Amino acid sequence: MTDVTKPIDMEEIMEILDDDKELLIECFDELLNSMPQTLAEIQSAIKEGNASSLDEAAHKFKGSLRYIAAGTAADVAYQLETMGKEENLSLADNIFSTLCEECEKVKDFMERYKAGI
Amino acid sequence: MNISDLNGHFPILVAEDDPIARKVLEKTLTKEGHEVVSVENGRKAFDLFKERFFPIILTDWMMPEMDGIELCRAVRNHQASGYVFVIILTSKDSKGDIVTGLNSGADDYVQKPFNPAELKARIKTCLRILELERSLKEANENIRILSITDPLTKSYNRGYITECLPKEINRAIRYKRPLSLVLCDIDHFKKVNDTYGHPSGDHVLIEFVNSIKQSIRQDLDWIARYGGEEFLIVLPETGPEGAYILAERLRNSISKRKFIFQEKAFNITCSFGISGFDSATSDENISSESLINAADHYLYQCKLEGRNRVKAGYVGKTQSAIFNDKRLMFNHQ
Repeated sequence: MTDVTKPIDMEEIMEILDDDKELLIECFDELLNSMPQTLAEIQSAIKEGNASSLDEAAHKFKGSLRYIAAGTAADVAYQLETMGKEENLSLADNIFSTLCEECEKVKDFMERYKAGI
Repeated sequence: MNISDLNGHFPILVAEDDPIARKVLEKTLTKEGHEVVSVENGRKAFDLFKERFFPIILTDWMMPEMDGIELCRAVRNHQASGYVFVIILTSKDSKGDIVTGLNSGADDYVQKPFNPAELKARIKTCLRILELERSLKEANENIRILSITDPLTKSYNRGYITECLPKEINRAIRYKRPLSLVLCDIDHFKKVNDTYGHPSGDHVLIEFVNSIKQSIRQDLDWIARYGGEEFLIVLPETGPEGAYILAERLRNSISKRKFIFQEKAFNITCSFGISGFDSATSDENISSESLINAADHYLYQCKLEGRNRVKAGYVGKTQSAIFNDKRLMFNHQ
């Protein structure tokens, strides 16, 4: 059952990664490195009103978040993806703020996990 | 390269633009012992596929430059050397994608993020199908080989001569290369059968062919059974003089060899008729028929003059030129 209180569901991610802790750290590192750039791309797409770019960037980010079992953040990314597909960016700014908040939780969780806390 | 060349090794091409997904796929599949090559978009995947055959492709749906559907269609339209099993990676939110993916030529799908056990199981299914294809191709190849092989001596058969000799001749004439035919016949073979029995005769034929195979070049020259005890040796890149030297060596070794079968020992001799042309020939009227007829003519001369000998001549020249040609090798006993 998905743990909705934690930004990353560790039970789910270890199932996806076949209990490979080394791979887990590699995935965390990959996301920590790419997250700022990805968020910047999404923000840029919203500012430019580019629905197609928003759809593409949010879809890709959603995929990464699902792979590390960051369910809540992934759901928010999916909302932005849908807005891009439907070419309706009226509430995109608000949803983007929510996405940033959730990503901050995910980032914090990953860093704490890596530090052994 | 084709599926048969892979010898049961099935490398996997992964096309996935998400670096995390790509990493997870690589690790999961590599741990199962697969060779994995991954790229970040469909275009790179297809470019790589054109250079190297991958029997298994795992592709994401949405990717820059070329998406999974376009990649799937491109792979299906490409003349690959074997079957390519394509698995589409779809997200949970796109159920409709599955039908589109399968209709575009994908064989299976896996939802992202994938369950490792499910991915491994689907890869195993794919391997069973590819293994089936490999064994079918192998069976087809065995049937093809049987259709061109003499069952007793394992040399080629008349069918192969009809199919391949014209190509050898055309190639030699086109690129101005020498070519020779050696028509060889075991002397008094009927006597071997009558004296020692047909199984002995079969043994002689088999050993005769094996002796010749050991003396000719493996990937270039070939031998075919032309008649009961008559064989045709085709020698590309060899003019009549070179063919004569080979035939004389064979004649000599076979005449000295003792054939033993079921404790019976006996000797045989052979006659060799050779025809051919050198790289200077420009006669485009040379055909399988004319070459074989010329070799047969010289073989007949051997028989008339006492057997156990070699006679050779050029084709593409006049009769007087052949007999006056100082390069012609005379028969040797």
